[in-house]
Amino acid sequence: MYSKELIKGTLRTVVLRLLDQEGRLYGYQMNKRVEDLSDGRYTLTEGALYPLLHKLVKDGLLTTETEKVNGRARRYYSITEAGRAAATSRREEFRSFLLTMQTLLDLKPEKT
Amino acid sequence: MIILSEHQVARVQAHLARAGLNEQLSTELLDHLCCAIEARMTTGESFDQALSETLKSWPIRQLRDLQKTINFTTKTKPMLYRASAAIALVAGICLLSPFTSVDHSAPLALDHHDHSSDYAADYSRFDPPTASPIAGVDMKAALSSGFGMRKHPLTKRTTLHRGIDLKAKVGTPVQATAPGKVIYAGEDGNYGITVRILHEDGYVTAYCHLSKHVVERGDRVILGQEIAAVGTTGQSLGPHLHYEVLKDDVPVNPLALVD
Ligand SMILES: [Zn+2]
Repeated sequence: MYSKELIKGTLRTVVLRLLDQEGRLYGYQMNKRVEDLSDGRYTLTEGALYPLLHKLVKDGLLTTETEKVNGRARRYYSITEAGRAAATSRREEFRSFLLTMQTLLDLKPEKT
Repeated sequence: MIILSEHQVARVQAHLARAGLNEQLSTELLDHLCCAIEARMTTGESFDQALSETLKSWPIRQLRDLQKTINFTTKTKPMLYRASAAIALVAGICLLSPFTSVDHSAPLALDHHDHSSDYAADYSRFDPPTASPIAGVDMKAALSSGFGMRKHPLTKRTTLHRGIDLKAKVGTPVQATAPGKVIYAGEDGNYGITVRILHEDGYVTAYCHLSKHVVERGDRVILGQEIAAVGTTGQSLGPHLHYEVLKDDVPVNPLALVD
């Protein structure tokens, strides 16, 4: 599992990208999806995920709707146009950030 | 696929009800916890097993903290747009290291004041101080007295405890929990030797009952910089660090800011 700091700094980028691709997800589902995609190394703690989701809704990057599923109310999140734009620019920023880190930390691709 | 019965859902709800959450958050977390329990049951656990395992990672205090964090993060006004913590860190490395002379046009955007784009609006603001004031020590683990109303151990009067107390030996180094500027360093009555740091976005952190301070008023400090040592000066019963976080002069619970 990666450190809290690394996850904290990238959570927003990851969540926006996920919703950009999948369209509509609920909280638990995001958790699962990210855990599966990362082989369990990137864990969205609920304590970080929900404050972020509510913030993104407030900032107009996501919208929500509630549906009854299996007798329970389920809150789904969808991405807005502004959210899509943010997802793209965050992803692009991260790409160049990675290149910069590669230089700063002198990371060579591992040869196997 | 396993789906919890109404009765089982009610038991999960009973746990959440104890935290006194608002309805929307309570409903959302109920579904989340039920999903987690169902997933555990799919692997063969009984409902009771799955329930207790799932709730273990969701103590009441943590639920309350979550609600506070949400209230806090959805209420702060947009003020200073800033690069995220990770980028700021790299900026620090750039400025402090011999790399300084390398390419400044590197795609590391530090000053985003382009308010017109969604991108800038999406930028992280100043993160509230979340680090522990004692390096390598978890605030929750070292906590000897929490934030909020309490009977004062010396005066016996019920007053607001404006910060948290952390157990530590005299001389233990104290570190800045966010970058900022020292606005006070010295003796401060009941607080004893105290350091106060002003951060962005109206945050101030205070470190009290110190044995000494190693920074002075006006100094700029970075996250994790040693600023003082634990002591028991001022109105204090024994060695500990009293740590406060203020937002626009109002004391907030430092633990509520931590994820
Ligand atoms: Zn105290």
